[in-house]
Amino acid sequence: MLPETVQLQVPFQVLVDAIASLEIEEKRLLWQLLNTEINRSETNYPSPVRVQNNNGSDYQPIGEILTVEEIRGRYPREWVLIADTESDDLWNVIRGEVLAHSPEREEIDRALTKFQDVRSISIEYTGPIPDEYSVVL
Amino acid sequence: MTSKRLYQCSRYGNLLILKAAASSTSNTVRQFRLLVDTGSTYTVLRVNILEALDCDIQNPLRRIRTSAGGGIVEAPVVAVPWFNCLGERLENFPIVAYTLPATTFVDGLLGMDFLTLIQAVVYAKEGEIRIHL
Repeated sequence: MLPETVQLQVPFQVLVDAIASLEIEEKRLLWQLLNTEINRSETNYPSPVRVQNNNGSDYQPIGEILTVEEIRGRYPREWVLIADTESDDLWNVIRGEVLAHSPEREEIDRALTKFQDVRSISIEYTGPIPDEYSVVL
Repeated sequence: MTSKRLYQCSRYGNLLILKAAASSTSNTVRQFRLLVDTGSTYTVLRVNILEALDCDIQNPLRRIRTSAGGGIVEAPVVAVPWFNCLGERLENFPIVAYTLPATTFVDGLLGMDFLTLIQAVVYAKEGEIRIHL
């Protein structure tokens, strides 16, 4: 009887060489997959649980659900994309999963295009915004 | 008989900021921060967010020429299936696609087009917006 699965052993250096040959978009995608896996391993997160957000849509988290205070504490002065699992009536995120974060807004703009299937995403700056901050448009 | 609703904005110095949301045709929702701007004729949103909402920036409803801080700007106007801010949802709402500098910390402007439609009254000192229904 044939085995149902085959375990393929790939030497680490071969894997590194293969990654080096990827296009930049593929590398970014791989980075996100690794990030998700690392988060899952580090937090020993239980199997995904469906959560209903305030838009009435189901969202299946694949990582860690954090409150907005926890997100601000973990990623200060960064732009973050949050798959919100709970928001208030004025669209302020209460808790959700961080899909991407960066101090560079352009990075977040690029990341936004990669999560087309996620039903509800909030774009946040974790601040703080300086009190003397001003705008003339 | 009319009723009123009162909303508190986030305040940064003299600036008032609100969260808003818009949908795509496939009913995905993106939420963002807008600067309350009674000096702006139009509601403005960052180009890449509108693209993420499947808006066709290359084939807009129309293009406008308008005065901005840096001079005259020409920008496309696209419609989102719905736009929601201050508890008010407007269908097929037209938005100007224009990217403000990232250092503004906001994704766009909540302009007089929206504020007028919902009959908003801005209390600048209190950082509040009252809506008469």
